[in-house]
Amino acid sequence: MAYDDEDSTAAPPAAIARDDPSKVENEDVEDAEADEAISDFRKFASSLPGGGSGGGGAALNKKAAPHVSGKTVRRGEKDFESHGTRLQENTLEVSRTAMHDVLSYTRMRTPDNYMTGWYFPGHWAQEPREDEKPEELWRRDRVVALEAEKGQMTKSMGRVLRGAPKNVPGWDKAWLLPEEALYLVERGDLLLRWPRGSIEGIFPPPVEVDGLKREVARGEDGDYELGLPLSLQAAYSLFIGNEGDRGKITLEKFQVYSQLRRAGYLVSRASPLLDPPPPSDTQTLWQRLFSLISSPKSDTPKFHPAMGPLVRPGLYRSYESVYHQLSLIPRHKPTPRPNTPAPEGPFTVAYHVFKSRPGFTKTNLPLPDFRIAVVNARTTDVPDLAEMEALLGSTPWDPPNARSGAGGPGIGHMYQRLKHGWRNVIVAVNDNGMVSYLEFMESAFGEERLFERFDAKPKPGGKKFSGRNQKGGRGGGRGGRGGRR
Amino acid sequence: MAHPDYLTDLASTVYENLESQHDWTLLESHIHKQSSSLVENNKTWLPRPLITGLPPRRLYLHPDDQVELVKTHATYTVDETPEIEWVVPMHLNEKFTLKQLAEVFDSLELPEPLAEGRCKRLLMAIVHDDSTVVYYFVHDGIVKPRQN
Amino acid sequence: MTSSSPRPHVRISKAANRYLVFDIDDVMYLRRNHNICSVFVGTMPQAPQQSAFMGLPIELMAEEAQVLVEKNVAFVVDDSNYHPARIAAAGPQDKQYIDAIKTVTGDAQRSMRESTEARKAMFAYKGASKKKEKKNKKAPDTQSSEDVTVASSADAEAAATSLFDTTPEPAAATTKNSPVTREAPEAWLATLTTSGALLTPSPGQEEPIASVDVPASYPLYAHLQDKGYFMMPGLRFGCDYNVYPGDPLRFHSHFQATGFEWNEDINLLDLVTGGRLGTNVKKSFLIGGRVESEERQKDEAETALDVRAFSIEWAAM
Repeated sequence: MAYDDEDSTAAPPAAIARDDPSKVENEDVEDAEADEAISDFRKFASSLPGGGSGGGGAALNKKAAPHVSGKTVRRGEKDFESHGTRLQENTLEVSRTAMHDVLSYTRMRTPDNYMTGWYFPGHWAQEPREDEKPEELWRRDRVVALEAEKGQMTKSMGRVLRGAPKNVPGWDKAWLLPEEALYLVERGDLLLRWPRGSIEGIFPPPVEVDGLKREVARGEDGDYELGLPLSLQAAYSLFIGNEGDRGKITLEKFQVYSQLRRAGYLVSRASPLLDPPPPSDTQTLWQRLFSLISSPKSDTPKFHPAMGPLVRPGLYRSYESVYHQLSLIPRHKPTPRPNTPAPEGPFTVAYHVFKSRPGFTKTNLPLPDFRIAVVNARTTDVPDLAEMEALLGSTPWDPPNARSGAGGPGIGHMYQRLKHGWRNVIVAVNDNGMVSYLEFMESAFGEERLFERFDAKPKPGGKKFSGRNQKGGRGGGRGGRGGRR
Repeated sequence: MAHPDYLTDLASTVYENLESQHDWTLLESHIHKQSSSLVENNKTWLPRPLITGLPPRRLYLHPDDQVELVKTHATYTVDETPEIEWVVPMHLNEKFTLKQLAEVFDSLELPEPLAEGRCKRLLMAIVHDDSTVVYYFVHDGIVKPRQN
Repeated sequence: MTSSSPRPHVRISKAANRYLVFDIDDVMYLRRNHNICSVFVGTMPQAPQQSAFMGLPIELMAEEAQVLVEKNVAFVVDDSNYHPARIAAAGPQDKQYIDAIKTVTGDAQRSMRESTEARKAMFAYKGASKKKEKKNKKAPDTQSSEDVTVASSADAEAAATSLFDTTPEPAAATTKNSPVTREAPEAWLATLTTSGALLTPSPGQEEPIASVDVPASYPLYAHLQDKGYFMMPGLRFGCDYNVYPGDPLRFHSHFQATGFEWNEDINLLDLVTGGRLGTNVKKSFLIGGRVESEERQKDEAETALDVRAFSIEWAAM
């Protein structure tokens, strides 16, 4: 994942594949080439148990396999163009065959290891959106009920809607959002079923002796009469929709969701309910008073005569008073309570992303490590200033300081501060299944008073500039597609 | 139609740049189609002023020729023999269209026919306000990149 | 391979304006015969914690879907509507579909039983030889710790193999501990990749064909596709298409391509940006579009693709 703002001290989740194709560490030629994201399926196939396919009969490649980290697999060599040689043809054919074999896999498990989820798209459709509680977020969009929660995955996915009355069937079940259900189906963790009857038939009301009734309902065909086990293709047709469709998710958002999940992040749909309240006004008032006392030269515009020099003639003993008179153009000053409208359209935070951590509970989410908006490269232009301000304004105040990992005050930390910004958000740009991540932050160059340094007495023997990170911010424009349509 | 002054000025800027900074020789400015300029009263204007000249060393080698060189272990003589290049001067603030680019190519008359599978190329000289000039090859067709 | 009888059309699933192909045979057919590989966008169930290797479905660009429709080798179905409707309409296709699942699970169970037995024999043999090895190795006391390592790694290996051949963790454990005489094992469950028979239209009906919305750069795409190039989305190189001279499995890409209309204004700075970026990544920047001339507009047969393209490289001077 191109979370290039992640400092190296924060240990990435163990599961992150180091050679994830979307990861670009720097922009030299080799990386750009490697970034073409073409994988060598031959090596991959051989890294899978049982050689992925060959060997032990037709069904061998259809077995459930343990997880293989991408790091164990290296990409193969590639050529500039066809030489028309047999060797080249053969290598390609071997790769293609390996690909064919690996991808012919059928998701299959014993019932003990396979979660079953029932598709009830309309079950919570009538619930009002207004009185949602943080524990029951997005309940109208929860369309799959899990028979039972099994395994690690459900620790961060699905919600039991505690607020629902106990006579509602499925009240005690964990309900999945469409992206969660589709991701679990893809992983081979969830058997998705289309009920042939009402929800009462699947989840009998609690008056019945639970479990017993269902036993009776099952014919000799096992569960098949209760409902059809659905295919991956069917799951896509049910869960992928347009922006705003209830109980569906756009394909670009799903692809970003699943890529983050594969990389080991925990992901939750964004909601204003999950954001902390802005810092109280008293603090800023106090700060404002303090700044007035300590620095009489505030940033308020000064009076300049219509004619004559900007800097009044006179004797100056410090740069500060000179620069103060030179400052003509008002500069952006970040504020904890911005007066921006709520974001609209694609440039809206879609997901909260958490680094994997012990003790994570889905019902009591911590503050997210990242906020991500997802846009379609083909239908979205580069955001204009208003869109970007609204998007950043919707994220919480996160000034650069030691707590936010951007060092302390002082010139030595200037680049860290600029890089961190006062607010930040990640935009995932999705072009037909290829995703690039760009980080945007609210920076305030006006907050860095470089001229104050000119008045400081040079330390004997010391270098005047402690510019140990003169590179400045990373180019944010990597991989971004131009706004041309 | 005569060319507007700014195009003529642009051409002279590039001419000087080629001559003084890049040591080109045999420089020539062109404002009419060559075949037409022989007949005094029947001159056809080029879509834009063009320049021809000889760079001090070879600027472009087709990737297939690169491969051939490596195969035959030829010395670098072929590689270094310069060829006459066509240059189209443009300013960075200009916009252009595919149609205009096609017209420039169609107005190019090469002294000898192109080899099989090769197409016309020209050097686009892009001038910026500070008189910086950058040069890009533009090929009239799908031409694979050079291997380095 | 499939020269004798015409191959069935590739079914393209349209979901919310995106185009997906789920059938691996279709995917390989497009790759081998129509130089279309597209982006694998699905999580691989065999290796779900990485994104370097991706699985089904593939997501076609709209251009790819359109080219295949025009070549009459594929059709596009609005699966957001048609597919749920077919699932909801219980009918004879259900049984066919369920039978397909049962065939797959049955095969797997049978082959698992066979290989479990084969492996039991193998283990018996291996275990014996390991023990022998250990005995032979038995030497000074200092060696004993190494013995432990050998033994434990052998165990781990055995455990790992059993993991591969049976189902995941808990099941593997139970098979190991439970008596061998476990009668019929629980029926396996499967999620097929495609819905297969379930999508068969009702008698007398056909799958509803959906339209394809192609972007303005389509002519350039179709032109390159016709010449045998493989195209991938251009996001990583700031263009419309990343163009490969052959299967991207084997070849580096040659061009970053961006389509323009014949009379569309192109900023010279965009040309510089594209040309310079391309040079840095050993590619050429390709621009092109459909030729529009007065004569052609009068011409009725405008369907013929008349595309002109230009390649741009930094001149290094």
